[in-house]
Amino acid sequence: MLLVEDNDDLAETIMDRLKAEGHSVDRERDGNEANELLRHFKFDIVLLDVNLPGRSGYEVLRSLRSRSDDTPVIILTARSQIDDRVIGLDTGADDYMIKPVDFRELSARCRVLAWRRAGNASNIFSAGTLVFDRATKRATIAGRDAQMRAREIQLLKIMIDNVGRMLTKEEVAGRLYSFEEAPSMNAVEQLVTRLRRKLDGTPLVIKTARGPGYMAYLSDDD
Amino acid sequence: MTEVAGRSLQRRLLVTMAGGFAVLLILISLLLWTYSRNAANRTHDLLLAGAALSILDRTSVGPDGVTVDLPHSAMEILTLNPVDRVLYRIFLPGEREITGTPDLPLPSDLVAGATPVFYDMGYHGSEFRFVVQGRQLIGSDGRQWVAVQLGQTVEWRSAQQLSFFTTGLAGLAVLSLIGLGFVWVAIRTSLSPLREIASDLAQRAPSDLGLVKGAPPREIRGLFDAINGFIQSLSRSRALTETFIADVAHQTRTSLSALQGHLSLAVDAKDPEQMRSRLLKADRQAARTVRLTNQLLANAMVIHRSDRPSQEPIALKQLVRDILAESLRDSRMRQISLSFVGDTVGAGEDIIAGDSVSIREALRNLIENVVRHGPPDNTIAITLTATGAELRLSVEDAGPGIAEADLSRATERFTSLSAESMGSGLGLSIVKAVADGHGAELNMGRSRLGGLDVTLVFRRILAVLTLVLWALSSAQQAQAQTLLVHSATDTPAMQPLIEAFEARTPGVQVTYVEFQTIALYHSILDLGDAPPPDVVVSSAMDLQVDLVNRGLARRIQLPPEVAPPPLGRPGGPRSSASHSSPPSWSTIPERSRLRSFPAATGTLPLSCARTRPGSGDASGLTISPSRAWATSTRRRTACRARRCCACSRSWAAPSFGPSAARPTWSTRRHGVSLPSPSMPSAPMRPPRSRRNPSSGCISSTTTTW
Repeated sequence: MLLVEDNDDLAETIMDRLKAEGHSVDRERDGNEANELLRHFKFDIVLLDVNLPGRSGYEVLRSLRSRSDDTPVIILTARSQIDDRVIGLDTGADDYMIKPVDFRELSARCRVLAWRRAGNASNIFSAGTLVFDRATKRATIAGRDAQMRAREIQLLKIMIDNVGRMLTKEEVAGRLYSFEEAPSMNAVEQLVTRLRRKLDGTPLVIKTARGPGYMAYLSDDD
Repeated sequence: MTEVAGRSLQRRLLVTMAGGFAVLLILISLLLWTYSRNAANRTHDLLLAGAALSILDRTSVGPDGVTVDLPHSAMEILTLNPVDRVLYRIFLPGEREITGTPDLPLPSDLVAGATPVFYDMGYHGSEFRFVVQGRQLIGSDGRQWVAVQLGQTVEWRSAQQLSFFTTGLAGLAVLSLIGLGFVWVAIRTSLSPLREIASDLAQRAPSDLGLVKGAPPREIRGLFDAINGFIQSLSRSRALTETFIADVAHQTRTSLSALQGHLSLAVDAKDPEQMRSRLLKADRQAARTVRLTNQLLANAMVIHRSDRPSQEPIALKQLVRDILAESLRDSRMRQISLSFVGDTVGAGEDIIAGDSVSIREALRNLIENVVRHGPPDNTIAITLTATGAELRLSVEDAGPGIAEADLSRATERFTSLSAESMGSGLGLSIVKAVADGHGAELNMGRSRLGGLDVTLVFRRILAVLTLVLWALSSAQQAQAQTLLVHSATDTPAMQPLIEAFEARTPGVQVTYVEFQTIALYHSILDLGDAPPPDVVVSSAMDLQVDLVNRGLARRIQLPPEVAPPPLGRPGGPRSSASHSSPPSWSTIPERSRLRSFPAATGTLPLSCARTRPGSGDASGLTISPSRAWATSTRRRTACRARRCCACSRSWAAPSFGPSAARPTWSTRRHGVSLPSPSMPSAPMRPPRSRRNPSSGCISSTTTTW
């Protein structure tokens, strides 16, 4: 994990916090140096401040993405203006947080990014008692088969791929059904309800916001 | 306005005027030059002509031919001009010279006649003015012409021309200068009000924000008013800033000293346990300080942005969606159930002139308020509706709400109504500032969910076309309406109900079509071009549930005062339960026919909310049920009604207390069981599945979970 932050106090607290959670954290003060470092080393997650000496966080991010490096990046910014966020996310940030950051929130977001990355990278996704194998399309909960139907497995995969992201019902339907199948939104709802019931007791929770859509997240309780 | 700028204006005016005068002078001097030349020529030509005449007068024909006796008077006349030299020549044209300088030049086309001919011509390097005049003499040889040519240098007449010209020009130049002087005076005088303003402003102390006094001329009234307007808004803004700084100083000092207090207590702690608890307090206080700071900055930003015209047309619906998607990422929102209903507002109908940053801030603060002040499993229902030129954005929650008496104080800055939640008292004042900045109305009241209902009423930008369409459609609605009922219940049984309904709601006609249950089901599934019914009544529970689950029903919302009591209430007599289960529910494919029934008089408890397949969001249109209906018609139809009321149990859902956001149409896994004496203790309520979202219910059209 790489933290790029020029304020020593803040950097120290963030590093302490992340180290206490068992991450190994490198820290860079200067935009140019961070850019050089990122050129030669791979990190699992980059926490990037925007206002940096040398070159701005956005520039670092832009040059990272221009090398087609898809390391997850969380932007830390003290500016709360929306335009900044849009710039950040357009440049290719995976997430952003506004300073002062809530450390619990920060580590939760890091975890989500790590999960998403792990979920995409390997065939086996496991969260608590839930284990999902992409290759065999089989989900087990606490070692026992979760008895999911094909559609539920499909939905589970969509949710795991998008942990921490908001998906509208239409998006879910679009990914679940082909054009011929004429997805009914109610069927999506039923499916989500059924899947949610089956996931009961695992850390993977699917939240519904009527209107905006669905978001899967990993519950912090365990 | 400074003195330098004033002078430059004067200079510009003067230069323009001087340029004008110069052009005028050049034109006039051209004329003057020609005129003075003519005048000088005229004077001297007279002398020349006089001399020539007197010479001709002394020519005579003698025996030797033509002779001339040069008269003394001619010489006298010519010596009147003391400067110029004179040459003369007397000759017989075409024959011979008589006397004088023989090679004086003649114009080629000259014909000697009795009238004198004047012309300018060079001779031996000097400019001469010549006159040629002839006289016919009668001698022995008959008639004969004799001509006199006189030449004079032009020195004097040139001098005279120049003197005429310069005198004239000098006069004009003086006149022009005087004119310019007047212009200068006029400019000075008319710009004097500007100089007064300038000196007034220049002499001011920085803190003096009084208005500039005076009665400006009409031409600079705009400038004058603008300056005063600017001073006024500056003074307003400074007053705001001063109050704000004072408030901020107080709030942050208080908050920081509390933090410091906790920390120093922690330092002095006797044992680790005590220190830990004090540090926890300090941590919480720090979090509050952070939030306070954020809100203070947000407040300042909102007020600052409301001062300047940063508003542009924005689509409110998409903005709200974005904000909700963003706020859902907050981990504190995970227990909270959030819904957003805005389906009645179509694309393009949600345009307001606004500042998206401020609105975002307002909505975020409202959500933040719910999160902070409500229980962790709170419910937030956000609704966007459009009525006429208004767009209402309401945020409701199921939290503790605000007491009626405190509502007016709630939007005041730094007024926190709840002591235990330790609010900064800024959240609602930010919302209020945003509302004020947008010219929007801010209404607060009790929500259907039991908590607070904050509604922002924006003025939307309606395209003229939309307005016309809207007016047309509402005009159509105002005309007679027909309520189309497709039903599997015998017509005679329903007739009294229909008649009573029609009697109570003038302008609404009921068309009642009877079907068999299966045929009814199929007809709804495959409507084709047929008009969709507003109400579908059938006793085939499974088929009805299937229709509902296909998204063909609309949600029913009843005001609490007319909602039926809960079915199967323990201890309640069976009859009351059946009486109060109205035989109404609806499936309305696609097009809503029910728009605006007069609700005041009380009508059938038919309220049909359409759900478009594909959206899942329902909009509620409510028709109040009639009390009369309950007395006059229910006995006759009660038993049948109970039988045909597929979803009667779901009546309980939308109507009671703070549970309106819960599913309206919910069924057990295998359809609906009717309330019956055998199951009085099975309470008809929606699944309470907040903690355990997967409890046994099939999700249906408007299921929240």
